Amino acid sequence: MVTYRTQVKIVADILTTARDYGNNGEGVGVTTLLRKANLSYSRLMKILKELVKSGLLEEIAQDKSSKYRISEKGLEFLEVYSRFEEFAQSFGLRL
Amino acid sequence: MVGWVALTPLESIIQVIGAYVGYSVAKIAHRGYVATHSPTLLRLTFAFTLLSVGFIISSLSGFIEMGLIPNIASLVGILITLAAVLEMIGYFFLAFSHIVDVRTMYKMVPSVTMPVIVVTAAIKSLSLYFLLYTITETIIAYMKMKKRTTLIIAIGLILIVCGEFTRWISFLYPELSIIFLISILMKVGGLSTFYTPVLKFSLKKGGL
Repeated sequence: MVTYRTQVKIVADILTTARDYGNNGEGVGVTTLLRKANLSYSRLMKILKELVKSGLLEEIAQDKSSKYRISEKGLEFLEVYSRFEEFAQSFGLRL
Repeated sequence: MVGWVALTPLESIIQVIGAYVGYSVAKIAHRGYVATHSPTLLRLTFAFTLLSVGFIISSLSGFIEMGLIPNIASLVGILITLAAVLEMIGYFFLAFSHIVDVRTMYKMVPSVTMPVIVVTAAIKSLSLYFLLYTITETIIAYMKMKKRTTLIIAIGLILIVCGEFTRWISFLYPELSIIFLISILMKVGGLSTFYTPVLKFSLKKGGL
């Protein structure tokens, strides 16, 4: 049986990784995000760009590659997401 | 025969309660959709809005019987059919959410054949078909997630289906009012369970 993730679930996975592996504000690297979010490089970069643009993630520019830190807005989104995820799960559904 | 029978006053009141429960679920689902843009929550919004409107229209036929609303020729029949259509679409969206949510390698197509006598009966048969599918998927989801509220919703859906079947049986034995009463109690019990996630959501910090 194969279960597919929706776009909102992928976004939540990326934000959760950024929150849990962000090393207290230092940010998380693309390699960790790739491994934890289980996405292709091109798809991840596209989503990261959108998340930075919408203010859910903050990009920390570094010499070689950027790091990503979850913003206040991103944390709020995860909070809201988890509440509605539980609500949907009550009906046997996933967000 | 199932179909062109107006609801009793008691059933109409239950339908109004059902409409309120449906509205509450739709309201939270819509808020969730606005916040997360989740298509699942959008489908839940559609499902419960349609069910809610269906319940309200359905209850009108009972209020006409009570004399609270003036009876216009053939209005009851139209209302019952319209309500059945709306409820069917609502249950379809609920079943569709499961179909989209759990795309599996195998295709589960439950085959249920029901006798179709009148248009409303056919529509109600489809509603039951969607409900049975939703029950199956909700039980599967419970077995995966082991969440108590999911089990409560599954039991609620089963009660609604059983209540509907019992109501059909009560038409065959109109002298046995106990069968009708059991069907009403099952429906009330079933609809009440839908309020569990609403209550749970509301009680949390920043709920409603």
